[in-house]
Amino acid sequence: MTGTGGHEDRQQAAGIGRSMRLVARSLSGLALSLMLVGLALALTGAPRPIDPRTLDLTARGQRLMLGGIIVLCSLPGVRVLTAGAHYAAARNLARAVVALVVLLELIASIVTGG
Amino acid sequence: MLLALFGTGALAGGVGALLGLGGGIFLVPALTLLFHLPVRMAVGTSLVSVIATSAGVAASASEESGADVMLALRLEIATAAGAVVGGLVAGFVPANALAILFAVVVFATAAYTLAKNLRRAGDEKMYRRDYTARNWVAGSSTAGLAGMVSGLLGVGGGFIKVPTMYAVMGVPLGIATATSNFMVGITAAASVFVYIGRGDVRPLIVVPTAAGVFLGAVVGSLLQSRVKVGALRWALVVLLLGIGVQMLVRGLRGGA
Repeated sequence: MTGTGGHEDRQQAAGIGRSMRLVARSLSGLALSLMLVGLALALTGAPRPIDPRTLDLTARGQRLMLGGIIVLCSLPGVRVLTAGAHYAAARNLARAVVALVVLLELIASIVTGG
Repeated sequence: MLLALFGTGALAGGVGALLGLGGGIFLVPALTLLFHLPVRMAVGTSLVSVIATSAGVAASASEESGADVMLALRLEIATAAGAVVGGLVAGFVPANALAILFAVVVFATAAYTLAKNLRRAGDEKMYRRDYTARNWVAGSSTAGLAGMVSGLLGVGGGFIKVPTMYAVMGVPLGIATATSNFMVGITAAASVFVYIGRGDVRPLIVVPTAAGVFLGAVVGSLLQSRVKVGALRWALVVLLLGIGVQMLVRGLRGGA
């Protein structure tokens, strides 16, 4: 069912999987750090009381938080690649999913003007 | 305000993890009804929280959870496409209609939870591996619909995917649930960038909420094996019905 090839293939796939998981953990740590530092900056620079509907943050804090959010949101893509690395036959499917998502995001950004 | 967002997120994530539901089903109504945020902003926040939970709690190898990764990746092609379409459509749908649609989804989730409660637990065949998934066209179409619901309303869509995989595609229930959980974060990631591009993801709301959901989900998943959730599941059905009515009223009154 997995479509995995021989023993060497499986060993190689497991190695890639471990590396990808390490990358995913590092990225989630980076995302969390960016978000927390950004939040601290935003809070120290923002006027009181803070109303989340009418945001008035320091630009740097907001940019850092947004950067953290974007890094966090890219993690599932890494997860797809991790899964793909475990299953030789799934690799092409994983690539297809990533390519499709990138294409759709491109269309979405054009439509929304983002 | 920030502590309240963190606490709400932690509660939503914790209850969601305890009962096997995504936090989004609680988070979107909480942000809309308690914090009076616009529905689209609540959905954007929920999507990031779903990704945070998925990235954190389920960071371990997917196959350990019983998920069929091949099946997930195939279905994800349709689900990711549906999620992006849902995210785009959300920009054009009036907020009232989104609130009413959310109420419908909450009622469907309550019905799904009720069905799970009535089903006898401990079925040995829940994780059997000797199956071949069938009806790919129907399965992919429904997965696309689940993705659209996820992108539109910020929920995981498990109440659509799991019954479809189980009843239509012939996947054992335990594997269907694990596969659906594996797909949730990827689906949310496909549509969240539409919300970021549209300005519906506000960092000051998202960061404390997502951190709360993440922490709640970690604690909830740790408690899951130690707490008897039987009575809690029945309480959840009542809670969901209450949330559904509130969202419906809000949508019909035009205050969303």
